[in-house]
Amino acid sequence: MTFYELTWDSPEEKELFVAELGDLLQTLEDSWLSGEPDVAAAFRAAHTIKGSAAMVGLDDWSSRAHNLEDRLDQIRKNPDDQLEESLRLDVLNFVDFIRQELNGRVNSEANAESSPQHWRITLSPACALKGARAFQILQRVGELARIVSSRPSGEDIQEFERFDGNTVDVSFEPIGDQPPVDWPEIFRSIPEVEEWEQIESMEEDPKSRGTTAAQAQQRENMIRIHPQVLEGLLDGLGELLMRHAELSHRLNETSPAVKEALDGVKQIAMNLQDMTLRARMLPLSTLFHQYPRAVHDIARKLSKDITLSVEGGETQLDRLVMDRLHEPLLHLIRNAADHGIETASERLRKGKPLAGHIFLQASSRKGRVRIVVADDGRGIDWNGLRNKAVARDVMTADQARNATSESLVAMLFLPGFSTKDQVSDLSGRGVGLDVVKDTVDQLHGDIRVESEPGRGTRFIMELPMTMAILSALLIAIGPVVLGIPVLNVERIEPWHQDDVKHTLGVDMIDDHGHPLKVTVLSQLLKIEGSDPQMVIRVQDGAVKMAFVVDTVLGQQDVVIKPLGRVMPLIPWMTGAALLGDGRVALMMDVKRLAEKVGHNDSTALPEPVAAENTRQVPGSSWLVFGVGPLYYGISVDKVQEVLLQGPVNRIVGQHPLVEGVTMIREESYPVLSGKKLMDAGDLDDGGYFIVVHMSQHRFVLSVDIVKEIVPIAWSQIQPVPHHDGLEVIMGLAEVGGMVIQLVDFDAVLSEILPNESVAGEQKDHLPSLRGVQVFLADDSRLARQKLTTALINQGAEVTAYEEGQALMTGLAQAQNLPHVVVTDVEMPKMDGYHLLEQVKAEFPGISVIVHTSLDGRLSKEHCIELGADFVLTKWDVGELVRRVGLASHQGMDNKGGRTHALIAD
Amino acid sequence: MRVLIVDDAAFMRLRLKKLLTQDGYEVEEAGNGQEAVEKYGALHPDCVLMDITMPEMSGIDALKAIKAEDPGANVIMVSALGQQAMVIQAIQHGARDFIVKPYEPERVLASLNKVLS
Amino acid sequence: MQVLTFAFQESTFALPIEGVAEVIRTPSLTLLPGAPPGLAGLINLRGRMIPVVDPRFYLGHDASRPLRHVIVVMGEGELMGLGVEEVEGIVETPVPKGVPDIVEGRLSPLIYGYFQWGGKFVFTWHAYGPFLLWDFMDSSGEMLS
Repeated sequence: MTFYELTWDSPEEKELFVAELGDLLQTLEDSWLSGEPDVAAAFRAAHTIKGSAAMVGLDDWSSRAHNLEDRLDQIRKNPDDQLEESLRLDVLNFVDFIRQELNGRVNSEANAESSPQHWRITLSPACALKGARAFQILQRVGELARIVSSRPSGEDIQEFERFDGNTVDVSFEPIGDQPPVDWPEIFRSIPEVEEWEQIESMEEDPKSRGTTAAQAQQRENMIRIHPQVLEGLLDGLGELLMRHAELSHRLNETSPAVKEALDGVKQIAMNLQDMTLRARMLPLSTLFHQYPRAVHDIARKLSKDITLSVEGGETQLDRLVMDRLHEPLLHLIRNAADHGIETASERLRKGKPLAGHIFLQASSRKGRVRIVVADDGRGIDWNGLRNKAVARDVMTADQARNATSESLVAMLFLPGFSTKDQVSDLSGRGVGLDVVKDTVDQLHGDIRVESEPGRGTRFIMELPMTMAILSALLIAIGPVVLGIPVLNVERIEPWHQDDVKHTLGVDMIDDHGHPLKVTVLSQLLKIEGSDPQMVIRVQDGAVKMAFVVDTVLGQQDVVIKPLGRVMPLIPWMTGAALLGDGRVALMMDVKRLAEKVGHNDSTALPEPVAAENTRQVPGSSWLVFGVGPLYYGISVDKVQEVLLQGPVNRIVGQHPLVEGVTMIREESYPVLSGKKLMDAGDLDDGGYFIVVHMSQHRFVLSVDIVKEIVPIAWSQIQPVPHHDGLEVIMGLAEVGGMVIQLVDFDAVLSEILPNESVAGEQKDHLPSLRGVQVFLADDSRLARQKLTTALINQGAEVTAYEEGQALMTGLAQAQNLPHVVVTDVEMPKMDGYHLLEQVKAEFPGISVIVHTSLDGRLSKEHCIELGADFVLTKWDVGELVRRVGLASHQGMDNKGGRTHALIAD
Repeated sequence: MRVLIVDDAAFMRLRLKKLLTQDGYEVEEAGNGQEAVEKYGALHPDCVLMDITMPEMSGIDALKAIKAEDPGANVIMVSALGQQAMVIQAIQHGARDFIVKPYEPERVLASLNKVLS
Repeated sequence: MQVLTFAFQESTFALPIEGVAEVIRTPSLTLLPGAPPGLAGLINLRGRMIPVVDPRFYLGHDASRPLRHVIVVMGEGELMGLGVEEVEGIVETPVPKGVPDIVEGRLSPLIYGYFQWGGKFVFTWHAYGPFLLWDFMDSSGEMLS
């Protein structure tokens, strides 16, 4: 016997049966939706259903219920038994089955029976004028059906005007012989309606029956306030405080009693302000309570088995922030259910529990709220993302292959970037992950993703607890007052100009041995009338910086007023705060301000630093870094940039010194291991990347510590006795009590790039150098070898020296002066610049060719200023030979006289 | 599709007009209730966006008059917060939908969409 | 039409009275470091922070003189301030619609029409003019050369 065929004693009896059955089904469902099933409750429900169904003759239903009851009883008696996943599936299937039987009945019968339909329509949280909306809904329904009852009841208009609920319940019966109405379509057509569902009856939602008396009591005692009322209160209080300040100022010369009374007023106003702000806070459960249902529905639609567990609902959050979170959170959950969780069969194959798990967790710490949406599904399809990136021209195939998960994740948040080609109607409601990120950004929060293939994905959102009130450190720069969130402030100290070390256009100060970027805010923001006295170290997530300001005014709780229109124009400002004295403090977003500093830095040129130093001190500047226990130096001319260590992709088949490649601003750089180079032991640590640019070659040197830049005079450099093997160190210098080994990267480079060999280079185009005498200076044995060989091959006579001083001596003692002098720049004792100067001064007839690995335009210009006939960058040996040829003709013609400079272009 | 915008603030009409024309609607304007009723009769627009508070002839009265002429008229009321009672009254008199100021442009377009489909 | 006339040393303009919420003497203006030219700063209007636009950046006038008054305008539920040097008064006058050719192309989107008054030509802005200026300021840089 099916349900339809049943006969009832009375319509009431049927209604009662249906209603009770509905409750029992709800209980069954509830007991199994949460992580820890309530077996006892499920058992009782199944038992009762069995009885009821049997009584009315629904034997099929009864036997199914009996089946379930038995299995549940088993578990109930043996709590240690493993809960089979199939049991859970069966319970839920049973519930669905019965419900379908019931609903099908209710829906298909448009005419004969007068069994009412019960619907609950949920309004969107942003709906203004809820009463009007509810009225509209009921009116609409009333046009198409006969309303039996509703909530709000609509008996009088006043009820609607007072209405402030989020849901409208309505029970209605079809009218006479109307064609069946597509109710979901009707509800969909009403604006600001978010969801609609059929419910079993107009009774209270059975779920809420479970609430304790205490909770019900608490709910009674709460009232709803329109957010605008709170805004008004806050504005009024703000003004009150301002008037107080004014009064206080004018009444300066009064009795202590008056002053005390005024203070009292201020205190009260501030307390009220505080309370009003706190009134805006609501527990997150307000938002979360609707999600289990949503997940349940989605799971059903997708034929997947998914549970949602919720934790931390008591965490408080500003209701304005919460309002805006609803859509993004819903999207993330839907995403997890749709894309993340696999089908039951897939999970079975993978050996996972049949039911997919979505985990919603909220917590708060230090004024920030953290919300995690995690699933135990298939994780992010990295390869799919890679392919998508290439297909969308966001990355080249190479870049995609080398891309780290961080950079791929960044793409997830680009508009329109979904790894499924057809966006399913569930998660494609126009709220993409890019909107989620946008919303989080606008709320001044962060979102990041963690994912393990096959294991699951986690979305982690962090938001400020409230947008309204903030504990801020107020600082003054000239006439401008800024506020830094106290959470971001690490330390405040007096400022000394000498603490700054200038590293390639970036100012840095010492932070326990690590460089910390520092910026003088009056310069960055172009504020006049500033007198920098204090430096504040700040941190925002991974960003660390130091700001130099005039004075610190103190810490204060301030009310932030958002500035809507102004925000996009000044991205580092999060709002304005009205201070008690009437001034306005501009609140800053540390991360954004640091970004601004970063932009300014990247446009700075490295050359000015080098030029300054080489002109003043006969030597040059060296960047000191540490690998293992020792310190080394690299010529600052070669250093492009210093960065914190980034991710390195290992490459097979590279030189043993090369660790792999890394991406810096979308270019790939080979990473040279400082440790391996210096043979310094174990391969861990490493904290910094030194980006090196040398004669068209770029690479990154990975080191432990970057210390500072020091000027070292050439005379201070002690040459290192050469031995076989790789000449890495070209000299030693003592700086500030420690010995620094200066690295010769020419040798390193040529070792790593062996294909830069000389042999076989266009021999035919090379001029003959018969009879040409060349003096050569280079501290690198390898270089001397290479050049000497190349020149001798063309018939020249070559005398090679290790450094400038020796070459000068050689010239002084020479019987036949050479036609051409070829010199490197970086040499100990006397560098190339000085050699050049001296040769040109004492032997003007000799052509001098400078052959260097320094890339900078300025060093080239410097050479030419000093009289070089030609400047060549290593390593184009063929070109060098040609130039020697040219220069020798010049020199030969004008021997003893002045040489025309063959200016290099 | 033709829409009649009724609002006594010229600025409001202008902004709305800009929004609607960008979305492909043909827009007519009226600065008060009387004008609205007259223009409705003459032009028969597909929809009316009617501000509730206007001097002389209020939005509600204009709505009633238009509905009297054309019971099938599509009128969407534009109201401010705190005018819920009037909105309910308008719905009772046949307004199809309402929008609350300050409005999001998408809201207006969505509402028009729903009413006209 | 009822219009509010305001002036800079170089020119006089008018704004339709609808949309004007109030007119005040400029209270202390909070400067915004890093703001684009044209964003004069913020003022505190009974607890609300309102941005103030200085139209001189767009009009090409000398922006060194102080802005003595702020005309607070309302649009789309938001308030915005228009900084001006002098406020003259409210005038009831017919303003025929139409932008004469002498008005630079750049300025014409702002102008609704003009009328003569006290021997001068007074160009009347659209009521949404200040908001238009804001949009121009947003994408400025290119605009200002």
